[in-house]
Amino acid sequence: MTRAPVAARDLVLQVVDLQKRYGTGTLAIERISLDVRRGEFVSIVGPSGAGKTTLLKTVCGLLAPTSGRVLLDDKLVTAPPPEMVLVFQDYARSLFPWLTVTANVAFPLRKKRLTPSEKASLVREALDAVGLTAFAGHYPWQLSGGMQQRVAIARAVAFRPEILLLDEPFASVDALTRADLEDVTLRLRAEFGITMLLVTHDIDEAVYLSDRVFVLSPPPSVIVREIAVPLSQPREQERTRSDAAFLALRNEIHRMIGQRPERTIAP
Amino acid sequence: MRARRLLGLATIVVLLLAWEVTARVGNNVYVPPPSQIAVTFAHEWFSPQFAQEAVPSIWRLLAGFIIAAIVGVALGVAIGVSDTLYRTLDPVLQVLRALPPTAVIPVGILLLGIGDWMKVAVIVFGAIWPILVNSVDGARSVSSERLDTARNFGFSRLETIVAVTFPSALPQIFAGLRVGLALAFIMIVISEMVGGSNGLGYAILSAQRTFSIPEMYAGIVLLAILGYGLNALFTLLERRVLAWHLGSTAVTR
Amino acid sequence: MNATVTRWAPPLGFVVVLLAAIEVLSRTGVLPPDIPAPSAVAGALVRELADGSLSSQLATTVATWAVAFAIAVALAIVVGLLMGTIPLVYDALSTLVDLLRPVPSVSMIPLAILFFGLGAEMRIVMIVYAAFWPMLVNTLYGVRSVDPVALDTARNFGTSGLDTLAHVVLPAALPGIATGIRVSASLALAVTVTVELVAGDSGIGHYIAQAEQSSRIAPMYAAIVLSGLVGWLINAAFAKLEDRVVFWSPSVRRAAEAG
Repeated sequence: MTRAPVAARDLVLQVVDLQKRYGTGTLAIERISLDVRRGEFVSIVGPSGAGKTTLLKTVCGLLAPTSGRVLLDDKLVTAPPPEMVLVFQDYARSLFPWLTVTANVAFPLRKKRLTPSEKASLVREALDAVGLTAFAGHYPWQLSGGMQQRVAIARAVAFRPEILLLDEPFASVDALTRADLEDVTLRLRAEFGITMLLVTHDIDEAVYLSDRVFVLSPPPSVIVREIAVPLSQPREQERTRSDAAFLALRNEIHRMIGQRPERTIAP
Repeated sequence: MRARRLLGLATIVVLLLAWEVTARVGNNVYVPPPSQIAVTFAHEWFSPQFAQEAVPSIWRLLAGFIIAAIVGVALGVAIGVSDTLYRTLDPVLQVLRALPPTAVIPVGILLLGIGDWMKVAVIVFGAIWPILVNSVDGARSVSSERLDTARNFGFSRLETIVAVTFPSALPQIFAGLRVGLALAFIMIVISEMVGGSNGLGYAILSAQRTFSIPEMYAGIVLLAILGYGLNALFTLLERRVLAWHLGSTAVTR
Repeated sequence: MNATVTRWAPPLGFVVVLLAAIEVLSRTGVLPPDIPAPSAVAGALVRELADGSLSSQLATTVATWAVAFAIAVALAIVVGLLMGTIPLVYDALSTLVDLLRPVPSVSMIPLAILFFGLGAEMRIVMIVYAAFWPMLVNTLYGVRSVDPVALDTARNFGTSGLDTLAHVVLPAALPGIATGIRVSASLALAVTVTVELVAGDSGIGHYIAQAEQSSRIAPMYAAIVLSGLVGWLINAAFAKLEDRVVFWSPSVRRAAEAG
């Protein structure tokens, strides 16, 4: 599928010919190229074990690519840049149990040169945005799974990154909570203008949330297809998910999952 | 629930009474009745005797334990966060840990005499291994998500160790400290028995040698009370520092 | 093969370098004579073991340890099973256990000397007393960790008390018992050496104390190294046993629940 070339400054993230081999020698990612425009919501769907976490960690700079490169705002990513934050699937293992919700959300701000009141207002806004103001003084383990993931998201948002990488963030919660969290994420994008790159195995979720969806093959992973999702905004759980176009898109993607392509998409 | 506790206490009371009765009837010098021990205890230990014998033991124990704690935790965390240090030193630690700690007391006597510093040194040597090993384990068991989070937000290696690794390792560190405290206790008693001129260990052994039997029992009771006291203090400290951990593990269970 | 080398090369290398450094420092007189060269210690170790003085002490220590350890384990398993399966026994004894367990067993050494003198009997009593507590605690833990569903299943099928004990409780408690054995074994050795040191007439601990008193420095260190080796062997052996038990115990448990 061809697109009109996008002006460089509109691209927040560029992944160019990324390859990643595990320490054991297994090829996790064979060759992936994709880009994300400012303010977009992009999803990557793939079956479990497709190296999606590895992909996000490499994009984020936590892992070094075997070959290829990642560019954030046209700058090469060699270490985790402050403009990019990764939200993990396992919130219990990523939050700090010795800190309150407020302290957890304020944690990244230690590295920023801000006055205490500026930090406090960032924390407050983030907690408001995810709906956890009433639980500011609680400890993460006193909260439900969905709420804990909100704390993790709030922590990322308080840092005011340009782009949020989400690693199957809603996989560990029940369906109702998942719908809530999906909408929270959409709201955050609207409110704070954060670009979103989400990785998931849930095709419906990917289509519901995104402007574009990349379909990932099993490892050694490549991108099978890039699919535009021109559904109307704002997305709503009931209305959007019962839309004929929505169903057509998710069916198409279902068929694609697990395939190795005859060709990859042209860069 | 309370009935159970009562049964337990009743058992102890019955045993004490049986002891009292058989001791009075039997009149064996080696087995004085608990009442006599209690009287001796009150007489001996609420007196200058306490300052002479118990206080030196207590301060040596505390000094040795605190040194072992600081060095053990610092070294342990350092070894835990460094792959190179861990791979090189952990096997060595596991071997050294198996050495019966009291075996080095004669070395201590040889090198340092029979004074206070020998005892403190020997306590450090005995108590440090569980503290070290547990600190290493604790530092290594930080979840990769937490470490990645700190790195994501631009924390330096040192900042991550202080802000993430150390608090994360605290429950394991405290487990090691508790074992270390028990070992410190053992080391002070034995070092005073083997190479001492004062202290509770020395007092108890010399009471046995001079056949001051009730005094010997009273000394043992005092040691036990000291042990409980230290343990209780430690538990209090642990509860304050690890309040978050106790809460979180209760939830996940 | 390569993996083993990679694993053991760094620590062995470190130890070799350290020992070499001490050797040099000792021979050049930088270290006081109270810290002998490792080669002297090694030589003393071989010599003393070969001509029998240290080896007979070693035998005494190991024999004392083995007997006392076996008694402690047997006693603790019996008491642990009783306490763990009969609530009345547990209620009666648990307070007593909580009272006595935290007291360091070494405080009882003068008491043991009083009643049993300075011989093997005294040592065995002390070691049994010391090793009993961790064994009991771990056995209790194992027994009380039996899956209540398994117990209910057994009761449902009308299994007799003794059969339930043998086929449901015991297998489930095995990991706890195995852990207790490991901890107890190491503690028993440490107490053996300690008692020999303080008030013994034979054994490695006694040998160490004697060597110190007669300023036979290298043999003293040699005996300490020997006790460390024995300690390490015991710990390694019982840790391996524990691993085996823990490894196959879930399947034993499943079989017990099914059968």
